[in-house]
Amino acid sequence: MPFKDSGQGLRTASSGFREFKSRMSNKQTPFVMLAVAVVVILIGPFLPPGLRSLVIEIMILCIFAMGYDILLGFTDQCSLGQSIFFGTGAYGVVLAISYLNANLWLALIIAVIASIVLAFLTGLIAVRLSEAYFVIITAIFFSIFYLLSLSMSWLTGGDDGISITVPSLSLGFTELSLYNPLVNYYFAFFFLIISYLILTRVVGSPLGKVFISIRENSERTKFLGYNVFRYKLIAFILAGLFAGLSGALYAIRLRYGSADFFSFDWSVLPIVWVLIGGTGTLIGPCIGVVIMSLFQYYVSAWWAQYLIIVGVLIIVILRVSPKGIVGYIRSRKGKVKEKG
Amino acid sequence: MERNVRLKVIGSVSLIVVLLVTMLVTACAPKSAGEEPIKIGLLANKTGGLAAYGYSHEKVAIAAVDQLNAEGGIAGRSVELYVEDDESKPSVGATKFRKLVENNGVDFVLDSNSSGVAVACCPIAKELNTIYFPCSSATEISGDKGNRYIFQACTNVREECKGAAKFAVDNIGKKWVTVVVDYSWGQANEEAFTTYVTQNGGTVLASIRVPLGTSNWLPYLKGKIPADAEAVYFANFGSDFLCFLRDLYAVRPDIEKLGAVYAISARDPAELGAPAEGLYCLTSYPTRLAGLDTPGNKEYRDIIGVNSDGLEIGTDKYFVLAYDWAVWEPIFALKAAIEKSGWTSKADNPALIETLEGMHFEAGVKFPQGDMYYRAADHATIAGIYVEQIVNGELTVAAAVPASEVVYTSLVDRTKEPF
Amino acid sequence: MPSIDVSTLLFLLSDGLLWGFTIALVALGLSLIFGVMGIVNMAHGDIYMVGAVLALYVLEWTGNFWLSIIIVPVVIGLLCVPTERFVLRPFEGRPAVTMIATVGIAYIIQQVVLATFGGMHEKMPNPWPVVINLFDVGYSGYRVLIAVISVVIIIGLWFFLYKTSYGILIRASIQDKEMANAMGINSNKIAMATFALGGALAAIGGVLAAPVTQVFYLMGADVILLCFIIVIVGGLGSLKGTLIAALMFCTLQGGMSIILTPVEAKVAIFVIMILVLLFRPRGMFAK
Repeated sequence: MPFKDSGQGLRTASSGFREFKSRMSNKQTPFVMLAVAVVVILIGPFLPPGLRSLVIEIMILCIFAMGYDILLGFTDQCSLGQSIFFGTGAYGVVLAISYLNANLWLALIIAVIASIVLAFLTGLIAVRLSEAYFVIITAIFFSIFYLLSLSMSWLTGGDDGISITVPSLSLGFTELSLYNPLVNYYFAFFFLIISYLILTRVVGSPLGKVFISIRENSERTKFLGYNVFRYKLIAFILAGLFAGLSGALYAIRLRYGSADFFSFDWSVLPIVWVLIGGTGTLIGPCIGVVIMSLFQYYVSAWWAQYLIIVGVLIIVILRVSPKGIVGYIRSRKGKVKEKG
Repeated sequence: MERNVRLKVIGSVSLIVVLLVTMLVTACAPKSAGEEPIKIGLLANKTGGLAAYGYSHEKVAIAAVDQLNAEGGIAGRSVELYVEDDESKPSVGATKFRKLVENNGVDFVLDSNSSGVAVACCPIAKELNTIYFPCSSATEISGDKGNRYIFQACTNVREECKGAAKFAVDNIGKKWVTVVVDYSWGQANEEAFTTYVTQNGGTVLASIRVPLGTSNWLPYLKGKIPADAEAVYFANFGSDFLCFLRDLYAVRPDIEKLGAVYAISARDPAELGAPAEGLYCLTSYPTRLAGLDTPGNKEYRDIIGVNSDGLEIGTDKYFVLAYDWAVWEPIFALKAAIEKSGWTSKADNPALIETLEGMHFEAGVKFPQGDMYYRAADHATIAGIYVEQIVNGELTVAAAVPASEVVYTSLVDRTKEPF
Repeated sequence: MPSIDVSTLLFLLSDGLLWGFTIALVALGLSLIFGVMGIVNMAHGDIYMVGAVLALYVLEWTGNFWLSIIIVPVVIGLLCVPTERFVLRPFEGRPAVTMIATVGIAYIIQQVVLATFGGMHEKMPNPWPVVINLFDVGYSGYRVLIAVISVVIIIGLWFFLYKTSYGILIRASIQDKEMANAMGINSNKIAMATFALGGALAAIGGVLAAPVTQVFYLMGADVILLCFIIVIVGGLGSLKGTLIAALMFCTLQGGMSIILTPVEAKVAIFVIMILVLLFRPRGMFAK
C-alpha cells in the first residue's frame, strides 16, 4: 500500500520540478510575505494585550508547523512522534535554565542541539521504514518518551512540570526582559522569520529538489543515484530541529515545561495544521495553526465542544481541497491564469 | 491580469489592517470608571481527562457569584464571572489564563483542578499581577512552585497525608503498602504518606507505581504485596480506581484500604459492592450532610443544588463535591479582604495580598467546609480533613481530623517575597 | 523485589493471554480496515469507546447486558456505512489525508459523547460475577468468558473470510487491490462492508471490555496506539500476524511485569516492538 499523498495518479519527478519552479517563480509570494511581515512588525505595539499573546503563541507554533511540512509535505513522511522533539526542546530550555543557570542563548542552543541529536538517533531507526510502518514506529517512540517523561518526575517534574524564571535577553549592547510583552513578541517574530527564511532556502536549494523528487517517486530518485535514506533522514532532522526550537520558545513563553509537552496532542496537531493549511507550501501550515488557535481561543469560550466544529471543518476543507487551503487558493489562481 | 492579482493582494492586506484597527478601537474603547464590576475568571476543566470536575466547579462558581451579587456584590460593586476551559492541559490552561486577564480583563482567577495547569499558571499570575486561587492539591503550589500571588484554595497532599497518617496507624494498620498512579499527584501522595506513616510508628513495606490509564492492575498487584502487609494506601481515581479496587479484591480480599482524596468522589458507594466494603477514604469535604451537619453547610448545599446525600437536585446523580468548597470559599474570602483592605483596582493588589495573608474565616454558609485560614508564610489553606468509610454500602465519616493535626511546618516564607 | 514464584508467573502469563484475545478482536478490525482500504483509522479507538458507552445505555434501558453484544455492533456497523461512503471515500488513495479525516471523526465522536454522556468515569457492573481460582487469585470469571467469546468471534471471522465468497473477495482486495478491481470486484462495496465490519469488531471489543476497563469518553486513547502497534508488528494485511502479535504483546507485558516496574515493562515492550520492526521491517508475518 503506498502511503503517498501526492494527488491523483503518478507524477514524474520532472513534472514535480516544473510545478515547483513555477511556484517559486511566482512573483507575488515574496511580495505578499514582505507585506505580511511589515504589518506584523508595525502592528505589534498597537495590538491589545490578549491578541498579542495569542499572536506570539501562533508565531511559535508556526515554526513547528513549517518544520513538519518539510517532513510530511516535502518528503512524504507522516510522523506521529513529533511531540518528542517539541518536548525535548522545551526541556532543553527548562533544564538548562534551572540546573545550569544558562543564559537564554545558551539554553536555546542546548535545546536545539538536544533535539537534533535525538532526531538523528530516532531517525536512524525510524527513517529506514516507510509508509504506515514509519507512522507507527514514530508513534512507538512517542509512547516511550511520554511514559518516561511522566514517570521520571525527579528530572522532568512529571505532569506538574517545572516553572522557570526566564533570564533576560542579552543582545550584546543591551539587556531586554522577555517579561515585557513587546520584547517577547519581536523575539518570537525574529525566530519565525529566521525559520521561514531558512526553510524557503532549503526548499529552493538542490536539497529541496531531492526532497520533492523523493516525495514524487522515491524509487526513481534512488535510481538517479541519490541516497534516499540519507535525504529522508536530513528531512527528519530538520523537522526535529524546528519542532525543538518551537518547543523551546513555547517553554520560554509559558515560563514552564511539563510532560504535557510530550503528549499525543502535540504529535497529532502538526499533521492537522499541515493538512488543512496545505502540504508542501510552508505558508499553508501557518494558516492551519492560525485556524486551530483561533478556534481554541475564541470559540471554546462559547462552546466547550468546539472540537466538533473543528472535526467537521477538517473534513470539509479536505473534501473541497485535498491540498488544503493554500492548495485551493493556488488552484483557483491557476484556473484564472489559464482563462486569462 | 497581473494588476488584477496585485489589486486583490492589496485589497486583502488593507482589509486585514482595517479589521485589526477595528479590534484595536473596540479594545481600547473608554470604559465608564467607578461603577465597573469586579471581574473574576474561572479556569474550569470542562473537557479532557478531568472533565468530570469542570461541570461542578463551574456550577458552584456561578452560584457563588449570584449569591454575592444578591447580597450587593463586593464593596458595592457587582461581580462578573468569566469561564474558560483549560482542557485539562497545562499549555491550554496557561493560554486561557492569559486570555482571562489580558482579553477579558479579570481581576482574579480561580480554579483548575489539574495541578499541571495550576503550576503552569503560577508564574503567569505573578507576571500579570493577578491574584490566583488554584484548586489543585500539589504541595509545591504552597512551596517552591508558587509565589506571593498564589493562594492554594484547597488542602494540599502533604496536609492530607499528615492528617491521615496518625489515624491510619492508630486505627487501620501498622504495615502499609502504597499503590499510586505513576504521575506527579500519585508520586507526591506516595512520598508524603510514607514520610508521615513512618513518623507515626508505622512502616511502608512496598511502594507500587502504575501507569495512568491501567485497566488491568492484576500484574502489578499479584505477588507484589507482601503477605504481612495489613493495609494499602492508594492514590488513583476514575477508571483507574474502579479497576484497582476490583483487582485488589481479587488478590487480597482481606486487606484494609485507605484512599487519597478524590477516589470515591461522586461515586455511588453501594454500586462499588463488596470490594469497597470497609474502605476508608480521605476527603476535605464529607459527601453526606450527616458528616458535617452545620447550618452553614446545609445552606451551601441548598444554594448549589445538592441534597443531603450528595446527589444533584434535578438530575439525581452524584455530584462531584470534593474540592467544590475551594472554588466557593475564595470568592467570599476575596469579598472580606477587599472590603477590609479598601482594594479598588489591581494597583492595590499588594495591600490585598497582605490582608489575605494569615486571614481567618469562620464557618458558615460562606465557609461551609469549616473554619479556615490562609497561612501567611506559604499561602496554604489550613483546614481540617475527614476520613470517610463505606459501611454497609453507605458513606459515613469515620474521623474528623482537626486543622491542628493537618498543619505542617511551612516550606517557604512568602511574606518576605517582594511584589 | 519479591521473589519470582512460578504460580505468579503462570498467573500473569495466562491473565495477559486472556486479555490478548479481546485486544486481538479490536486490532483485527483495524487490520481489516488497514488492509483493504489503506486507512490509518485514528477513530478506531473512539468507535471502541462508543461501543462501551452504548453498552451502558443498553444495560440502562433493557436491564440486560448481553443484548448489547448483538445490538451495539449492528448499530455501529450501520453508522459506519454512511461514514465510509460520504466522509472517507472521497479521500480514497490518499492515506495521510484520510488519516486526518479520521482524526476529525475522532474529535466529533469524543466531543459528542462528552456532551451527552458526560465526563465521568462510569462503572459498568460485572454482568457475570463468577469468581474462579486461578493460581491463588480470585479471578473474575467474566474475563475468561470474554476471552472465550472473543475466540468464538475470531473463529467466526476466520470462517467468514476464508469460507464464504464475500470473505474471499475481501481477502482478495487485501492481497492485490488492482487485480481485484481488474477481475470485476466492486471495490467500493467491499470497502464499505469492510469498514462496517471493522467498526463492528471495535464495538464488540468495547462492549466486552466495558465491565473490565470501565467507561470514560477518552478510553479509546489507551487502545488505539496499542492496536496500531500490534497490526504493524504483526504485518500489514496479515490477519494471522495481528492475532499472534496481540497475544504476544499482552502475554509478554504480563510476564515482564514480574521483574520490572510497570513503566519499565511497558517501555521494554515498546523496545521489543521497535527491534521487531528493525529486523522485519514489514512485520513478523509479512509476505
